[in-house]
Amino acid sequence: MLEGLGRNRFLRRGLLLGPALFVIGFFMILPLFLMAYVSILERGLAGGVQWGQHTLEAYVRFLFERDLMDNLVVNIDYLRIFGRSFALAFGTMIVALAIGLPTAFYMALQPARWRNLLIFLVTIPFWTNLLVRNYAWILLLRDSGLVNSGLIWLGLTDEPVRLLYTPFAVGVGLTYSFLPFMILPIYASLEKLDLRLVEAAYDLGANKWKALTRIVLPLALPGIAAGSILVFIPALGAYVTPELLGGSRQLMIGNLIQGQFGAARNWPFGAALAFVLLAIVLCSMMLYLLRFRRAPGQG
Amino acid sequence: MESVSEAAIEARRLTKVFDGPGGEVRALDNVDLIIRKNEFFTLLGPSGCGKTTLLRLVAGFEQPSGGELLMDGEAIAERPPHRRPVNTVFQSYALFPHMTVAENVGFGLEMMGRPREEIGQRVERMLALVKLEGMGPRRPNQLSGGQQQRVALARALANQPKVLLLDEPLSALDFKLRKEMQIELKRLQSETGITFVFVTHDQEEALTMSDRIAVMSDGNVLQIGSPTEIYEHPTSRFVADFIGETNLLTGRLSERMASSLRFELDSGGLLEGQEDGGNETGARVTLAVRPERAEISREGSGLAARIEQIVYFGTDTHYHLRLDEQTPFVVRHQNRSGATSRFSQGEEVRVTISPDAIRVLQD
Repeated sequence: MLEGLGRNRFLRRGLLLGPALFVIGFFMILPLFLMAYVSILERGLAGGVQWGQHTLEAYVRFLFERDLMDNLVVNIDYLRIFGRSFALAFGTMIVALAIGLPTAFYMALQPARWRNLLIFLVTIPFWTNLLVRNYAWILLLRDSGLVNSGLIWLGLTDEPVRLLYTPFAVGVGLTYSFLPFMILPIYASLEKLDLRLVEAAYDLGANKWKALTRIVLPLALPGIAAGSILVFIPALGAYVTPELLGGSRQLMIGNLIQGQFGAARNWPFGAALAFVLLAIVLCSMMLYLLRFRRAPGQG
Repeated sequence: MESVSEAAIEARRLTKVFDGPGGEVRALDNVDLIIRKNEFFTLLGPSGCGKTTLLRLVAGFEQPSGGELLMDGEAIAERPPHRRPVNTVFQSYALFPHMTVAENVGFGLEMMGRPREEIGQRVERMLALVKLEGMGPRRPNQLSGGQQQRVALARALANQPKVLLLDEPLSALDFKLRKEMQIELKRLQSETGITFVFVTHDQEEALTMSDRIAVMSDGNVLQIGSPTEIYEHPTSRFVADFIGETNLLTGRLSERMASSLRFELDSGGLLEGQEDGGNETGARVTLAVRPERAEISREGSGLAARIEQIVYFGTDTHYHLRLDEQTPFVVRHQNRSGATSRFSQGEEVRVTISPDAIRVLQD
């Protein structure tokens, strides 16, 4: 049947692309436009929106609030939440990189038969629901949890250290959740690295440190860049982890947006927040890619 | 001045054993070898003969399992690769893809901590030496295979090593480029005066480029000598067979005469020779005869043979013969006059071999 279709290239192309176009169109592009439209509508008083009544109020609200005289006054509360989210996501990325890079190195240097097992081990956490894994961290980090009991037992502290519902807890949860996304791309780029290049570097007088910094790391850069993006972006929009481990005081963007569609019943503002986030992510991505665009194509 | 015959590299009972999946593999088995200063030395042998292992031991990528390895009379087995005055041209070139050509060539100098200015000048000179002027800012993947090869050479020569190791560097090039690079390498070697240790499985390459050749097989060095010695006086069946084409004949040293010897062949017939290869009268021997050293004619004395096939090569013609209907024998005849063959397939002919063309092999 496919051979018959071969005669008509356009038809065949259309049929092959169709499902993908449908999925992207209906489940991504359309909702995106819907959200964009919602963000420039008047809010409905009991949630929802007032169709046909356009306003940019939601975007204004991101940076300003109106005082009693209806004057615009700068309000950086929301910016602060964005800032905190960025700091947490960035910190998560750095810690994941610090843990993931050596791990990926270790994996790539193992004999071939061990490597697949190690990849398998890295992906095991994905078998469990994110929610469950975050609850597990609550059990570990709470005042009577394993970590605190351990510290007390070791005599390092007399009373439990406050771990849960702190930025630390959120950072730990995010790092734990997204670490495999850092390890796997770096491993992939290291695994295909030609070890003869390292030999060539030794041969030309490079010691181990020089071979690492001048040859291995630059060649692993595409993997490091990919891993960093894959950790940073989902960490930035994380919802479940800050909700469970951060409590009410460690709000992140994800929780803020959720709150606007939920309790605050301000759909346009929620949609506007989502778009501001999207814009910032796109811009930072573009900067990042520009920085790493010169990463080598490996043969 | 150092004497020319002084050893640049010396291997004494050098042994390397690898743990393979099917047990131990002796890649090098008690190899004794002296590579002289300033010579173009070739390690020749089929894949798996140990030639690359020997090279990697000299470079320092592998540690010997036994024996000694000396450079300028000093034991170097313990020294890591980056502390040896040795540089390598890799079979795959191993150019750093994320660096420009100039950065590749200057890498070794940078590692030695040379000032930036000196590196720049030396890189220019190296690129000129391998005829790649102006290619410095390019990336390796923007160059052709032959150009990449030259970059790899320039990079390895930039550190002015005492010994340059070349691991089948020409095998990825096409025929014409390979010929060019062979001449180029010869030129570089005489210009720089650096000891070249060249690994190849291509016997023609070895013959045309080397001052001396070591023929290796199964982790052993079978014979070391100049190209002429190796080609004209192979001592073993393997060397005779591996270098060029050879006819092997088995028989018996039957008689010693005043100025010559007589061999009685298993295929019937007698051959007159000059060397006995250290054999007693009556001993069984294997004789080697190069195809170009034998002649065929319609009549006369010589060994009786029948032409099975005639292959025309342009410059010469190969006659594939059978002695006594089984032993194969090839005669190469240079086509000096005309393209037409003097003989035809199936014809009964006589093969004559001059006594000095007969080699007695030692195994």
